[in-house]
Amino acid sequence: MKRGFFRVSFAVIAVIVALSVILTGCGQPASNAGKDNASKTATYKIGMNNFGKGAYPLDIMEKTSKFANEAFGNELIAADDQFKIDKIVADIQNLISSGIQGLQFLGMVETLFPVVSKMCQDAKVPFVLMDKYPTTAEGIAALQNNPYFVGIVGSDNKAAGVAIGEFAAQQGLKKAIIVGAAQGDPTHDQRIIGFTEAFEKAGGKVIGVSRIADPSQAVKPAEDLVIANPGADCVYASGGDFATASITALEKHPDLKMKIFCTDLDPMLVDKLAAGKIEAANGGHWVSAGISAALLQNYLDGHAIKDANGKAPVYTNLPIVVLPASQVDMYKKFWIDGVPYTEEDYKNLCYRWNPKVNYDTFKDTIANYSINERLLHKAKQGQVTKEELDKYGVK
Amino acid sequence: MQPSILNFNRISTNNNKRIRDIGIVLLCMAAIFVLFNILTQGRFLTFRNILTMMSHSVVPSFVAWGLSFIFASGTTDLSIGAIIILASNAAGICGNQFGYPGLVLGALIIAIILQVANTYVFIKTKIPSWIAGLGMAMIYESIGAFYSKTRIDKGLQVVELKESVRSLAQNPYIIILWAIGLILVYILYNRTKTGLNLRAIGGNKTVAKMMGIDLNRALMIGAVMGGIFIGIAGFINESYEMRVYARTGLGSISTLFFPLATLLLAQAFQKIINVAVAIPISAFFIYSLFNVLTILGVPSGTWQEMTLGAIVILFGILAQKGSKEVVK
Repeated sequence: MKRGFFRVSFAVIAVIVALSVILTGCGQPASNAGKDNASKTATYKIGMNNFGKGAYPLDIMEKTSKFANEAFGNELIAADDQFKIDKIVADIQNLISSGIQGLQFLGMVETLFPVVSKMCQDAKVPFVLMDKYPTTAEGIAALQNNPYFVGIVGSDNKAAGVAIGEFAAQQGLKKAIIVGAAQGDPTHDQRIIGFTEAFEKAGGKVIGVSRIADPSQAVKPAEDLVIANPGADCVYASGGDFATASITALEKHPDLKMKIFCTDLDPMLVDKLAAGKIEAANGGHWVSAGISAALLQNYLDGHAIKDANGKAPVYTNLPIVVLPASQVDMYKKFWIDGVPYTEEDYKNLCYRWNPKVNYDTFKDTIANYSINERLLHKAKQGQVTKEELDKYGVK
Repeated sequence: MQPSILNFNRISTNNNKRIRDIGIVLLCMAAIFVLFNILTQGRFLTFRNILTMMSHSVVPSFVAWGLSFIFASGTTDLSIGAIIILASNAAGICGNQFGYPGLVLGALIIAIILQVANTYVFIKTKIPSWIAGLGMAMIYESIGAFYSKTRIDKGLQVVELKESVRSLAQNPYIIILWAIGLILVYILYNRTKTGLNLRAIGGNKTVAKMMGIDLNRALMIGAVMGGIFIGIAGFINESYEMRVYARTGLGSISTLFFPLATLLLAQAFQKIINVAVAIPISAFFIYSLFNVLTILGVPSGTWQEMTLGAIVILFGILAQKGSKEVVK
């Protein structure tokens, strides 16, 4: 009796599991790779991972991606990695299982790129990299061998650090301390390397570094570093949260005169820049989330953008714009409270609305990105007056 | 006459032993600090660094004091980290609106309400407190995340406390608050009926009930007391950090590790130093480890977190040394 009961139960469970697998498989939309879906009504379910909701530099990328995807008529699903590297793979897996048709991937560590590449290839889900990308040519080449790899839109983070390092050295500053994200973060590693190389090449010296895993807990380690190096004359914060922490730390010790430089421009830092509490800042490169969404859209519509060698394009020269204090108001109006690229701008990067779009369209858009360029464009669209352009020194 | 003299001699011997043990502990700490100073080439034992370490020890001290009321009754509440986040943001919002009274009351009200709510859930549902606490933590984190998302959608971040209302995190006010907290907790924990009742409940609930202690009432009062100290931690935290971000996925629990390590070390010392007094000493000692690691350039997320994990385990062992049974 007992044995018979178990046999029947086992059979029932096996049938249920088999049906679940079959029905799930039927529910998965077929990949649109290679098909001409330039129909004006085709919409897609796009996934992306937000490394940590609540952190402005990450949330603004999600917001930008959502804006661009909704302009295309798509639905965006964002997974929250909760600042945990080991959760990223599980989140990507869950997104794929939920039936996404494309993925915008934010790879927080180098080792994740081949892993996610394989996952997407196995699941036949096209994916694009935004902001972060492999730092080696071999890593990029490996991705380009994947037929589901759509491309990269990112910034030269080392150049961002170099720009600030050179600027700091030009100010006559000699001793710097650095506050940045955890080691292994490809963005912050490159910024710090760039700053260090440029600053030391110009005769300065980096006398202390604090790498902090949790940006929300950065004030105390930043203060410890500042106290331990009272002779430093400047602080480079490789991210917005670390700049905030450095400002807070130095406010507690007003006798320590250290100039603050940073990469990343969040609302608070923009105000601090205007108030003179930050000497110089560059950032605003989160537009990569919108531009990469356009790359993905073209792929899904069957008109993938390719480079001269027929491979997925790699755009890693998105400028990290330098924001002078004089243009803070404009930046707030169009980058923080508004959008630097409108729906029309993003659609203009998609074959569906602009059949002339090609590799060079993206290349030029990305290379020309700057505060001045965007303001001049908005002037043509009637959003900025000539008087305002003159007032803010835009030529 | 003879028995009185014997008692006096025994008490005197015990006091001498205690003073000797305290002296040994303090000497060991001093020796370690000298070593730290050598390792950091003289950057550890500067007046400014010591003052900074003291101010960094204040928030964990208040959280540990709050934990001592809650844990004393045998409750393991893992939602306290999430409560601190909400209390900190409430302090920021109210502080920006109403100044210092808003800063203080905003944090206290939220912390007390949430702590009392937790205790109510523990009492009524009879679910093990660590499970119920996890559930409450997820609820509170969701509230924080929703608030954060609402702000992000407006192009803003979570509330930033205005500079004009941040003096409580500056010296000497933060040290004065620390001292006031120490006096308050010492009296409440050791010299009031509630403190004694909580420890009796933590020792053995059945016996405490038979002694005539109203368990639920004592737990509720303990929750209020714990909530007060956690609320104080909330507004000091907001004053110090200026902005406290939301956490999700039970990430708020990690913020408890430092106060937990502080409490465990204090409990390891409680045979020679009253736990209320041992907490700030322990907080300062543990923070000094992190201070040295930061000065030496050890990145967080790796060795620093490993050190904290090892400390929690080691001090947990020391605190439970001598217990013959499994301790919750």
